[in-house]
Amino acid sequence: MRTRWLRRGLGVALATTVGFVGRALAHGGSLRAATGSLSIPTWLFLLTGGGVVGASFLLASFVTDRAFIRAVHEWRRVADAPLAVARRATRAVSVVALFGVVAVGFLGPTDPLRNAAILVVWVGWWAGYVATVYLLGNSWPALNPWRALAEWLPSLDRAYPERFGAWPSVVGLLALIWLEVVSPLADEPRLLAGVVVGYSVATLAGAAVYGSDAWFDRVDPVSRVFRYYGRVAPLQRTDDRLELRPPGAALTEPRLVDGRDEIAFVVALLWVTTYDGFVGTPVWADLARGAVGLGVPAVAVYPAGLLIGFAAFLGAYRLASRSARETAETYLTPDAIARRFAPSLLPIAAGYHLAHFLGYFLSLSPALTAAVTSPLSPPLNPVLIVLPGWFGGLAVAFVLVGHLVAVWVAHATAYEVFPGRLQAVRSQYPFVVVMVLYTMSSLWIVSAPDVTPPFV
Amino acid sequence: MSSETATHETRVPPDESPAECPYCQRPLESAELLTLHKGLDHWERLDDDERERFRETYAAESESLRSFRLKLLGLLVVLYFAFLFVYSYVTTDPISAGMVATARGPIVGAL
Repeated sequence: MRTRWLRRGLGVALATTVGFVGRALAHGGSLRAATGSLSIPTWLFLLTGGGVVGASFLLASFVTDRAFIRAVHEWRRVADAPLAVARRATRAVSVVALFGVVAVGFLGPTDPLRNAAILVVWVGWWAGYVATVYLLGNSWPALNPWRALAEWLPSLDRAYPERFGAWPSVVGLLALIWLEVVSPLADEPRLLAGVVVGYSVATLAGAAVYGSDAWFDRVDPVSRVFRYYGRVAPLQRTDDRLELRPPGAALTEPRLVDGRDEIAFVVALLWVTTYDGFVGTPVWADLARGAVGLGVPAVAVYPAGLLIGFAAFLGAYRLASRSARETAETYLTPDAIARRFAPSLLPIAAGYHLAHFLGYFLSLSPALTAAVTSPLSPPLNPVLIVLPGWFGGLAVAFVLVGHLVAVWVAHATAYEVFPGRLQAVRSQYPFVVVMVLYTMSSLWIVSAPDVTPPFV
Repeated sequence: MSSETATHETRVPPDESPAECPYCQRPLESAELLTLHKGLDHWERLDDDERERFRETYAAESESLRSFRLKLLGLLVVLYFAFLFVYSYVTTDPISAGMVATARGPIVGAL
């Protein structure tokens, strides 16, 4: 998710306070800054990124020892952890935090860099906390303040209509991203507080009707994002125990993604991170202006772009699953293949998120600390960390590492699904093509010059 | 892996006669794949003959993988040199030129 308004504010603040002029922390943060100083042409930069992913597929294909692959993925350390006791305390704290965010959002200073609500939601929660979910483990069930509130409130416990499946959460995720892109949600504390209240009312009402289990397991897009991101992480929770596993190993399990609705959600998660960057490129600005010039209403341009891109991503993934049936010469249906390989897209989304937000989190964390310690009278000029130039290279590395983990997860999954090892490798051809194209397009987005999205 | 075989949703083209697994009814594309599948997913239920057949099929598969790996290696080498040449033509700045020089280091050192 992008927080360009906050970043723009940040750029201005930097320019005025430390005399730092430039766009080092403009949209796309450290990524754009790094690629702005490329000494090779863009096409070669993109080709190299694609080449790295392609070569890593070739290297992964050298690993043909089933016992080895299984050993890597079944390696685990287990520890007993009576987490249910701790959960009551953590939930109480997060409910207090939720009320605090709303209160500070309405009453605190209007400067986004000084408002604790803005900083907690975007820097603390969406940038920092989300990163801990895929790097360490999914602690959201222990924190989720809405779930805590919903479980304290009475519920009608109506049966959730099964035919809806995960589709409401797909729609919810796309709607949240659309709202984030077209409104100054990261710049205006009052608006943010209003959206948090709106989301809380909708969530609590839904949980009251269908029961909190059905709501947070099926409908709530935020919980679903954390559940999927959490599967990338090395720490996994099973009943009352904690398991330590290699990162990504939990993604090869069957039934993690069950049905077309859940495939759509995983693809949507990948697409929204891309969309968020894409609307800041000159190509999008030209497309949007062209569409409006042809008579398309300006309000419709962003949702239309969001839906068309989502359809294209979903279409590409389905096409790859269908061709995998041909290349692997298997009787498995394209749907069954799509379900099994969808989790391998999650490390890509996580890598892209980390690339986007680590620099953002680090540079704003002193402002976050300052605002949280005195929410109603934060310091007038919050301290910001200026990141060194090489940090952008680190961000490009995160994008690539995400893809490399994805290639390995898909390789291991193929070995579990297909009895023939050559068949398993062949099943990956279409997916690798899609992944190479995807790497190249995300690198293209981060290397494109940053422009202000029109009509917002 | 064995517990999940029921989740394998399959569709067999009408003109083909699949080899069906007697334990989980998953249709397999060939007799060899069936032998491999039985050995991987239903090892406990196999008798000694079938286990022996699995070992043989697995070894034969490893044999064909060896030549496949050679092709992969060839592809990697082509990819590596393609990039090396593209970079040496495209880059003119000292840093990247230095990188190419490092890649050629051993030859330069030998001279």
